[in-house]
Amino acid sequence: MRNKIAKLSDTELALLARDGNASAFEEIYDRHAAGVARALASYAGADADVLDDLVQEVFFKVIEGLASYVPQRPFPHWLYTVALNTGRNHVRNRARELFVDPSELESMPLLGNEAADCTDDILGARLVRLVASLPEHMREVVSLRIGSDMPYGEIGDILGIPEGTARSRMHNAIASLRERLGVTIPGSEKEQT
Amino acid sequence: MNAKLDIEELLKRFRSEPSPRVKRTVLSRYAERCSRTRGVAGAAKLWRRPVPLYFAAALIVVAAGLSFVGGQKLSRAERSAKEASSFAKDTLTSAAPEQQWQFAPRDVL
Repeated sequence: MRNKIAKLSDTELALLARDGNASAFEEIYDRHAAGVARALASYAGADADVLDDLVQEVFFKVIEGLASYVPQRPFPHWLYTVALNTGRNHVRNRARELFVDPSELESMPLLGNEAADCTDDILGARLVRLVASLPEHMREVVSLRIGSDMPYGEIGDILGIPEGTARSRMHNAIASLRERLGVTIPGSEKEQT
Repeated sequence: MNAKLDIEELLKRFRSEPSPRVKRTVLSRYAERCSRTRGVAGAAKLWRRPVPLYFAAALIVVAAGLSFVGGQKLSRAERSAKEASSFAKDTLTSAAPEQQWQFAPRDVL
């Protein structure tokens, strides 16, 4: 049964979950919880505890919203729209601008040339925190891209912007992150579609 | 060395699994929601049903209504036509001679 469920598309799972299939809902959670958490971590710059609460809130909204889910819209679009709105509310409610103090960055070990010894995990975690300090329009694109790995066209659909705009915002965000990291690294980010 | 460091890839590889507590809470909320109704959608409400379904149902109801009303009118019309014709027949044939229609010679001329 579980194997059969695992082969279904997100939209098929969503329809099954809407009709009360708990295994389908669990599969949806297993597939997307980490991506939603990654998107929220970068968008809202939240700590682990807050992040848990935000992910929980997103899936609670999904449970309530499944009743009105229509398959005309791909499920991940809908899920990440809910996640993005939850992130926006969180940032708004926090009532302060997200800002990473540059001096805090300097105090972090393994910057600059020392990045040679830095594990990808540590660097990744630091980058995710840095994303939270980017301007809103860049943060949205980066969060969706790293959370869901969606093509730029779909990200553009969710945000209501052209694909080219989404792509250029991502490009600018990466350039800004490089600059903020303070390391000169030859670019190799993929220009996937 | 991170000479080939790909920032986008690093961000994607960042592990941020929510704690197991979150999964338990979410699944139990789902089970609770489903226990109240059939699925999270509950019993399908009329306004949640697919439009073609209740559009077709509405068409059937309207058609049935029209044919009923039409049938009623037709039978009433038939009845009244029958009554009128029998009244005319009675009046013209079975009334007393002085009450029957007659053509007076002056009318003809």
